[in-house]
Amino acid sequence: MKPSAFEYFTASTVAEAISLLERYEDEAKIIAGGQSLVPMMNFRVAQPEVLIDINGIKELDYIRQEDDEIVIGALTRERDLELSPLVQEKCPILAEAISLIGHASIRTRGTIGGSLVHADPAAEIPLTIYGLDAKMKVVGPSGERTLEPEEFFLSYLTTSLEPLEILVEVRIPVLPQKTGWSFVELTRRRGDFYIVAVASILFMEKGGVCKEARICLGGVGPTSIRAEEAEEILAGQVITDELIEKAGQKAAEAADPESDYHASAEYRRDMTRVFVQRGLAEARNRAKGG
Amino acid sequence: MSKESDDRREVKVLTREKLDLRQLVKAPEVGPSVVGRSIVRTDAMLKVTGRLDFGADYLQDGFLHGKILRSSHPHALIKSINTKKAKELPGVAAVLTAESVPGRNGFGAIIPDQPVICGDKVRFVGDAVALVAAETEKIAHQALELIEVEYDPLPPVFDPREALKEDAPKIHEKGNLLSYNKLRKGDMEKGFAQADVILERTYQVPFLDHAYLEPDICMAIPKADGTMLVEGPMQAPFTVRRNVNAVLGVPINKVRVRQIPMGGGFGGKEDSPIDLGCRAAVLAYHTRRPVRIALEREEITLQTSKRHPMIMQIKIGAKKDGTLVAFEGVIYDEQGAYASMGPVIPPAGGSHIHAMVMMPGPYEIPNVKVDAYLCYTNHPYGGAMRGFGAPQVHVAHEQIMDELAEALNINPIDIRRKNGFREDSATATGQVLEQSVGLHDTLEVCTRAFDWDRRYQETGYVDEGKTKRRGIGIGLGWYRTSIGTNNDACGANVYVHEDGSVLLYTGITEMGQGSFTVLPQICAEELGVRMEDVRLVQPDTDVVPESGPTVGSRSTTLMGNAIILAARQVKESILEMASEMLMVPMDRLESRDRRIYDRDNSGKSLEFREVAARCMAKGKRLIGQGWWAPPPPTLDPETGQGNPYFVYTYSTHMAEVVVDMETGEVEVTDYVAAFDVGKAINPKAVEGQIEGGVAMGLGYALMEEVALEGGYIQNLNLKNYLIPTSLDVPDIEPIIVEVENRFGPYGAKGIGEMPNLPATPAILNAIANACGGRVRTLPADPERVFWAIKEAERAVR
Amino acid sequence: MERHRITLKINGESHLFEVESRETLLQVLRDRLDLTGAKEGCGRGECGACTVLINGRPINACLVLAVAVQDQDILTIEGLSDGDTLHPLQKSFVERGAIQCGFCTPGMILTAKGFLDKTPGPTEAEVRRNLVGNFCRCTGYTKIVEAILDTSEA
Repeated sequence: MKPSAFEYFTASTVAEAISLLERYEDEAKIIAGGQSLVPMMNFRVAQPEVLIDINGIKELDYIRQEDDEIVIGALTRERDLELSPLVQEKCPILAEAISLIGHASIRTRGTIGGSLVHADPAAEIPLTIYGLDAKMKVVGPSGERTLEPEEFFLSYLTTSLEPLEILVEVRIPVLPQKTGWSFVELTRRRGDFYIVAVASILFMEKGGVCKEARICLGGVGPTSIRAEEAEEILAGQVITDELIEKAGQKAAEAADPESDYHASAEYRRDMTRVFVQRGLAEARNRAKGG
Repeated sequence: MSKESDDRREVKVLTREKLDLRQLVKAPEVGPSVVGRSIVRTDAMLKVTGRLDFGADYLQDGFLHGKILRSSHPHALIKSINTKKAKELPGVAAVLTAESVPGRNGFGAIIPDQPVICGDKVRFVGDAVALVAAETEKIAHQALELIEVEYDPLPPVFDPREALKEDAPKIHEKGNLLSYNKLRKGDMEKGFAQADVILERTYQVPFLDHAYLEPDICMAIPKADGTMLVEGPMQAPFTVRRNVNAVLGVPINKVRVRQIPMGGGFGGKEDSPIDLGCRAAVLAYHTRRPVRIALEREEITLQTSKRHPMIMQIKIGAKKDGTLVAFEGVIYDEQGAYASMGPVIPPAGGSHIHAMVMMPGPYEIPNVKVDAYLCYTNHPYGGAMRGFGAPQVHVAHEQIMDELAEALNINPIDIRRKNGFREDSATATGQVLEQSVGLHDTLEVCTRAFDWDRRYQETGYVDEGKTKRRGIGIGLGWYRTSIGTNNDACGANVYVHEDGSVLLYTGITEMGQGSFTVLPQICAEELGVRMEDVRLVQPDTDVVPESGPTVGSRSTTLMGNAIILAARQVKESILEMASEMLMVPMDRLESRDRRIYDRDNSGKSLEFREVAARCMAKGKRLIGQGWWAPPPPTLDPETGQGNPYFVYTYSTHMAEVVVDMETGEVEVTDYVAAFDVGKAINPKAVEGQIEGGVAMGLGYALMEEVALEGGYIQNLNLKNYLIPTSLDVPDIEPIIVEVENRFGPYGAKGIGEMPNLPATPAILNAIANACGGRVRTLPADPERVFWAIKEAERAVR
Repeated sequence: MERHRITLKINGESHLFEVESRETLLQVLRDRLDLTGAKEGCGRGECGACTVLINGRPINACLVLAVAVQDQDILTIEGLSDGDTLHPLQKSFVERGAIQCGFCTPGMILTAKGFLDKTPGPTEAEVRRNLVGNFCRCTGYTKIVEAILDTSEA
């Protein structure tokens, strides 16, 4: 099926994009890589009347380090992030998570901004962002504001972006050396969308003590979930197998999965436990430099 | 001896004389042989450059676009249909309902029980309630949205066992039992009395989608002379023609069907082109314009045939040493809404009876009883899918053999060595396998190549963390060549021209399997010309002899024989003429590599083409027509005893898997598959069939399933209907074994469907070997394996 | 109806079109230029049959709007061979028997080209990982992987 007809504009600056949004308001939708939007349009799940193409906003395609932050333009392609030496070194969990998205041709076209704004609870980037103290910079007619993941993601396919706002940048604190991290996921078919995914980050202090842990769960609720009680079990501790075991169990309690034909809620919950435990063990090894 | 078996012997003898090629093979080698070589596919250049036009690549100028309004309910009466608004939409050429069908409002491969357009009731959500033709696809879509249909929902039935109950809602007038078949051999009571171990198990398999990559498409073009031309990718042009002519109410010769390149079929493009052909033709009939119907991926999943789901119950008895003594099986075979290829075509045609015959596996068992029920439900309908009832029962018999081996503490290969078919074994239907039984050859060669004995000792955890376990599994398989009906003939025409070039006409279609390469190979070999001298004509019912459908792994063998017979008629002319020209007796002449030689004096020869030119000039026959039908099948409807299929292909598969004991994830890490194919006409093409078949069997084992909820399919697209990718399929080692089939061209027998049958249970057996849990309801996705592991752990405790 | 005049660089040649905004690159290639080597198998970027190279990278042509890829270098299967002289990948696919129905073949070859150009001498595992977005229902991938490995060694 072809998409229904729409008007198409290209914006070459953020200001242009916003003024187009102002002109068309609810009728308009932003298109970046289009890897989620075009299939929705092909099958008429989405039928925007106006499409604003921001692929021409070159100023939004960058990866750089500013002080202790990796700063990423919203239009940066997933494939570029995956292969970026800077990202691989300073925020390796993001590169790893992105390498698990769909397949290479999707990542070549898809952008980080597009994935965040689409807010699919079974997507790798939003899940990772949850654990990273990332800040989303959005710009609208009345200026810019900065949102944290908890503020940005509202629910299934829904963000707190206002109709006239666009996401322009993501700022992610550089992970300190020796930070433990992992991104692990369970799929029905290898390399496919996940049933359960876990992003783990262990911030370490001297003596092998975990200062703070971040455990983000995907596939077990309408948005990604932080397993806070599980994180607390690990904070301030030398991480032992026993603690990992406990944290996994706690995290499984935090999961709020539903059953569908891919997997039952019960299985998803138990897999949350397994993957949190595996993820934490992997993160601990990395923290040890292993 | 009965008359029937006399007839059979007569055919056999005749065939043997006609087809025994051994003499030729022994002749002095005066040129390269064409058969037995991995000649590059004739369509490879076009495919690799993107220049081969599939249906969707054809020009669309002047075509109307046909669309189908499908049912909103799995089972309902149609109260009213209002097409007024749709008809008024500018650009709409026709909106048709049931009364618009000019002839018979029904189609089907065997029984025409599926309405072209439903009039009074709908039986599944893929049913058509109206057809639209419009100037553009977009307008056609809009028109569908403007059609108003009122339904009166009926209670639906989704389980074949429920469908059999007396108070079940009736899906068709005649009731929900489409076919009941039985097989009776020996004495069950006596058999089980001899058993030291008796096991009872139930296995269950879901609907599967073919998921061929090329979406279905069909074009119907009304010609000025009143002929309706139907074109599309299809496996069975003659079946399409038989349906279209009845639906239009015109004689057969008023319908012309042409097969165009086909991007995969796997049995699925046997049914759907009938469906689309009839519907496009009816639209073309009313609009008097060419109409194309191109299905989108989601529509394919909704509307087209599937592999039948089955519930299979088995009770099996064996002695301590593993000798099988009794087998009792029950099959609840779910047909879905329409008959398609489920019902029996006497004596042994149709997928259901095939499943029944195959159910006890390639094993000698003295006492066998099978009851098989084929039931309508309000689900999509089951058709042919690579194996036609056999993949399902392989899942059952190969798993229970392993379960039995485990109960008896016997190595899984030994129980198969003990019971597997050999020459002169009698099958469950009492058929004595007189020739070409290579089962044990494949078993032994596979055992060595896979290094089974060593690996069998080395299963267990593969990682330090003790989360992953390795296991190995075996699956034997057998599969018929031919379809088991008395209507299984193939015809071929061979035209030799004065320059020695050849046209080959057959109705066998190409869907990727390689027939358009293998059939010319046979033709070239028999005439003694080169491969490049033969051009195969695209199947066209106006031009080629009736060949039946491209199904049942029958093409190479049945059509190969027909081609040989056709080519021999021409070769006879050529040799006669050459005999005159060379003044050498005909029986000393040999045609090979474009020359006619004197076998006793190879310096004395003529070019094939100069002899052909002389024949032409003298009015000597240069056109041959060959027909070949297999020995007539037999099967007693009361006892299921007889010779249903004339020859079988045999194989052994061995798989290694690694199972994650915490998550149930399975990775297939190694694979060897050995096949007795009689003779590999084109070894590389045979390997391709094996590798592709294994991948499909792997999908059946691990991930594929049409997920249904209340009659509605939940996974309509390839994002959710999972098929194996390059990461799921391991490197596969194919092994070809040749145990000559004396009814086959150069000894060949069928290979197309076979390779996916043993793959599924080989992988399931490997999973069980690795993790101790057995998945008896497919697919063995991570969650099912996970629960099987849990169940096994509970059993140990 | 919204129409745009755009220039697309396809197989080394520039083409000027007037397109509707909603037309995908796949539709423009197939319907306007009769470059039908890119196939539509699913329409949602799952099967990979429509893969073309944009600036050397494999992209599902069904998932990009034609208006969005102006002035970028687009390579389709028709532009890969030099007349009747096949590209080494095409040659290898033919020789290895990596083709059955052929519907996935153009996309498969272009994905392999995009990958090999960036990753010479890959391992089998890398080849398999990079083919994951190109479905083949016929071959079981074995001969396709072999064909690609052959090419990279040549």
